[in-house]
Amino acid sequence: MGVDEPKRVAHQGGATAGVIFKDIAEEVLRILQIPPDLGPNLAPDKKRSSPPETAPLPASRSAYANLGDRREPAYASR
Amino acid sequence: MNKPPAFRCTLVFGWLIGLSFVALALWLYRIQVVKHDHYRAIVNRMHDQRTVRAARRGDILDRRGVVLATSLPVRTICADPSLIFTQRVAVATTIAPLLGMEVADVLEKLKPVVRTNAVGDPFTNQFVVLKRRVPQEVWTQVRSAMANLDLGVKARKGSGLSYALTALRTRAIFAQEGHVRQYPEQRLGAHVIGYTLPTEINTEFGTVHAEHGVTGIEAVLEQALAGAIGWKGDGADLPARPGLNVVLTLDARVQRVVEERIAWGREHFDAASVFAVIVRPATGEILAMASAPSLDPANPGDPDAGQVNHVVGSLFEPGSTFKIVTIAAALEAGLLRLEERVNCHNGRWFYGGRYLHDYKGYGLLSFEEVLVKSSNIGTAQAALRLGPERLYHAITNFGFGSRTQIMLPSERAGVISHPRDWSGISITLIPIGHEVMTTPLQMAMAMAALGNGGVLMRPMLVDRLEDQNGQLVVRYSPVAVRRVLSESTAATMLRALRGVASQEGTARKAELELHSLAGKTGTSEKFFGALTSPASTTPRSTPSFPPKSRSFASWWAWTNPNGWPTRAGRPPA
Repeated sequence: MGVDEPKRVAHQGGATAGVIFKDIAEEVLRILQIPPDLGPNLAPDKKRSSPPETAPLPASRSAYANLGDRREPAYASR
Repeated sequence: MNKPPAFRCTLVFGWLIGLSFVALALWLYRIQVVKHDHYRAIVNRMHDQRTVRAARRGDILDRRGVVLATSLPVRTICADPSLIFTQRVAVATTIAPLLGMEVADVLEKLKPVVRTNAVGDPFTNQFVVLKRRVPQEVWTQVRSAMANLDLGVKARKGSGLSYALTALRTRAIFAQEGHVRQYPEQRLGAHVIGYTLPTEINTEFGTVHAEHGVTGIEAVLEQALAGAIGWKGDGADLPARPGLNVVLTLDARVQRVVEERIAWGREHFDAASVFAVIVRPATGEILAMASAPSLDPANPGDPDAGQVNHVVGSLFEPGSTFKIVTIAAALEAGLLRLEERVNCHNGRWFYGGRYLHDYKGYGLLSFEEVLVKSSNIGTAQAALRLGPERLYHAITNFGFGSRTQIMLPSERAGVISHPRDWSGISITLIPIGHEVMTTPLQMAMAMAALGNGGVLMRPMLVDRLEDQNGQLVVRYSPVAVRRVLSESTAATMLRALRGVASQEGTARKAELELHSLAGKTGTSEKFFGALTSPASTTPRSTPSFPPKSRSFASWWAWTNPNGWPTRAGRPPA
């Protein structure tokens, strides 16, 4: 936020883009198989099956409908 | 004594014969010795023009072997009109359908053109290109059709006509080797991979059609990717040396996720551009780098394509994400403690003749809260403790103002002026990301340094070069640029930055359920509607996976979004 910056947008980027970031981060963590480090008693699969508090990008879900099919490389690994 | 007339005649005749042999010997000497190179070149052009061998351009792959760019063999179909002459119609009607061309167009190209050479002798053109980028199987069909060409002419074996017909059927239509570049994953990683354009390489033995890297990895590693052409002729057979394969550090799966999300975000927020980069802090490996709008490397001239890789090629004021540099430097210098409280003057502080504002009015905040709540006033006071020289040193030490030396073209260094050029309030503006210009990659690497125990790494985009058999030729290693913070300072900063993605912080919606997240948000008014820099995950309770090797840092931004919500809480459009 700048000196004379209108407050209208100040840090709204962080607030709003945070939703997108969370969506990306969770996918990246899953792809890289980075194990959870919070809440050791939480079972990841059980936790992931529950709806998130903040529904991430509902409008994007249709666009990502086929993502599961495309996550694996279209060309065979060499 | 007079010789008999018959003897004189014999003598003269003998001299004439002798002189003829001398003249013949001189002529042969001229041809064989004096003009040897000249005639050798002519012969080479006549016989070796069709035997230049194109080198296959190397592939570009992601870290797991997914092919992102490859080359497929194609042919350039050519003709020698001097061998066709009156049979143009027969040849054109035979090959035009196979090539997908109009007969009239082929006829026009086969039309012999007679010119005169340097010594005034007429000659017919011997080379014309009929069609480029023809698949190998089509060329096989053309060659077969020409070999079986029925001209309704019977020629006696060994006759001149027989020789001409054989030349027409076997040599009048010929093909040059070449390759066409293809991108199996379409736009994936386009700004990193770059693209090529077709080019012709003219050699002594003819022309070969190749692809030349214009930007991205295709351009930077052109020499390794291109290989070396070969040739066959004059009894020699030198095969082409294929180019090397380039294995990137990118992970196609991560790249795809990032590209799809930022494309969605750009559309959703009506932003001019969105870009992101994801880095492994411990090695500097780039796992994903994307800019939207993207481009199609197979059609780079598309006017709607985003030609600029904003991650390395654009400069922005980093806004509040830059606060980490000042707070970390002051912490490193022992000039503050994160739990120490500072007066934030209820969001309005007069310094240097101007008011500095905060997003919200805060009174006393700890420096940890200054980071979490992104207080400009608190950060500016940390900068005043450092002073201009030490602040400038910290900024340049983090790599700002210098190229990261990533293996990509058109990287920009950024702008940070020397303290002697600062105004009276620069010491309060630079720490909050104004009066300084950085690339997104520089911000990502600075954030990654926090996740790497304070060591700044050089961004690494290429993992290795391999030959066509997958044998290792060159392996690139991670390069530590320098230590910018002590390990304890880096750890302290990460702990503090975890609060940003919490209910108290500015990126509360980014809070993850199962992983800790350290980050910093920011907004810069002139060049951004907003930018966000959620940073690195740092697993704390997984001793078998050291945090440094199992985390990632990222940085992304939106430029000029029109769809941000207002403070009244309007949801994104």
